[in-house]
Amino acid sequence: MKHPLFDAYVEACNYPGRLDESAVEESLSQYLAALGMKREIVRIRQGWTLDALPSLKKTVNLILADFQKRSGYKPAMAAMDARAAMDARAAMAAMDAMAARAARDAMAARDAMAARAAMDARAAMAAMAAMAAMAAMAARDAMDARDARALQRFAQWCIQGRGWYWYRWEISWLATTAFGADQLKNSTVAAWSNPLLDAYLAGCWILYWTDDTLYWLAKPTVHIEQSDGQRRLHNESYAALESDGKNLYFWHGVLVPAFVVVRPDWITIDHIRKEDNAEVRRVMIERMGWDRFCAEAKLKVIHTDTLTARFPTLPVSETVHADMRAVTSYREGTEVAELLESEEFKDFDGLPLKFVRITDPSTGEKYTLRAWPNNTRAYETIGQTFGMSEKDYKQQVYTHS
Amino acid sequence: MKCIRQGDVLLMPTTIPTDAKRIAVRPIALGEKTGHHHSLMTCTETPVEELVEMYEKDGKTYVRALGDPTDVALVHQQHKAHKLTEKEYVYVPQVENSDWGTRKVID
Repeated sequence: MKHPLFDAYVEACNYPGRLDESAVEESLSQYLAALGMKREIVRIRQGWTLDALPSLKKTVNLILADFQKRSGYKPAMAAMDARAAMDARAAMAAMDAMAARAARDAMAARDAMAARAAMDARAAMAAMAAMAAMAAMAARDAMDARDARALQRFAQWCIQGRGWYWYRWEISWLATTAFGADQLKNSTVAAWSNPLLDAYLAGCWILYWTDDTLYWLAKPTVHIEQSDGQRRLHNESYAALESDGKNLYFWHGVLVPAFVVVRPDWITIDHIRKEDNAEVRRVMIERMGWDRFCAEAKLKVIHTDTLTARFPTLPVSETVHADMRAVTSYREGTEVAELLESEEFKDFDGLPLKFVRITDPSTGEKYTLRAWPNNTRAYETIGQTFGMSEKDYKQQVYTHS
Repeated sequence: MKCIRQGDVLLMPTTIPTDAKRIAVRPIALGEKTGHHHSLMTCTETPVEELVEMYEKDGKTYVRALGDPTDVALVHQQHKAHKLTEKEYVYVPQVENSDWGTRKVID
């Protein structure tokens, strides 16, 4: 039999939905009591500063200090590990309670799994996962600058950029434990998961633990577009995830700096050249406009070529969604590639910059990758991007998307 | 040789070195700005972990299909899926030129 609050939960996955602040805090009090923990409950509101949240400031500084100690290895992992260590310290008792076998079973129970519906809640989780990748940048920035704004950005990442850790304290996920506990008739797990479900229904989105405080964020507003049967974050004029923690800007599902969305006229060739991420670069060129990009970089096409290969016939939505059906048939298709040379920009050796532009046959997006100075043919460059000769690439890439 | 290309991921048929180290089955590549991933999935009832094995050696990642390779597909949230056709593959990440030399394409 369906849990009595199942339908209310599904409705609450449409963000931001209802917000009853006192009901959230009452439910979180019950949650703490069930765990046998004492914390002050504080909502993080829009416009927050670290100075106004001293417990959070102390924790963030401790994470940074730990990050500094770990900086001998990969920065992104060091930042995540430092935060995880602090999470574990601050919320040890809660983690212990939830890590019990019974809690894991309840989270995995059929009813709990069924509740994790694809709605705004899932889109907001995707935003958190994308933000998580900013780990190294956020931590280095905070360490280098050591100013209030950099520290604030790092704190925003600590709270909202959960990535692989999001599932711990993102309530749309954690609250579904209540359905599993109900299905398995486990009263111990129900004692803490029911108040969490109530907090979610009243508008709570994320929890953040420190030694003496349980911070919470209200649900964000998410802006979604439908594309090929998928929902992805997108807003043409403002943040796609409007959160009291941090606004995040997405362009057709890609996390980008705010100015790329709101002030595309600020984008320069130098921004594009310095951007490491190929997806962000693609969006910058799209927002700048291909004509303006070509004009400002003084790009000319020096070679155009095509590749005919086998492409899957089924649309994306039928191949990679819930049941993960695999493609069953292929069609022949043609990809177009152009090799471009800039008259305006030179590399360190004084040679003109070259790019290869490919239309991705699967997504329809146009990608621009930096070519090597000695490249003279479009597929010579593309083959080289996979360590292959042009001839080998054309002969061996059998199926393609 | 039948390579599979999916965006910035290329799976190239190979023979996995005998001394490659077995690793847990995991996503082949992650998209940093999208949260998307290139992963192996199956449409059969058998968990994908029982249909494929993954290995690492000298920084390269290898995939071995244990049974019928066509039971397993390379999937991604924004790309179309590809069934495997060969038993063993090596993952070749796409690279590009940069001011500081060749680097892996990040998406």
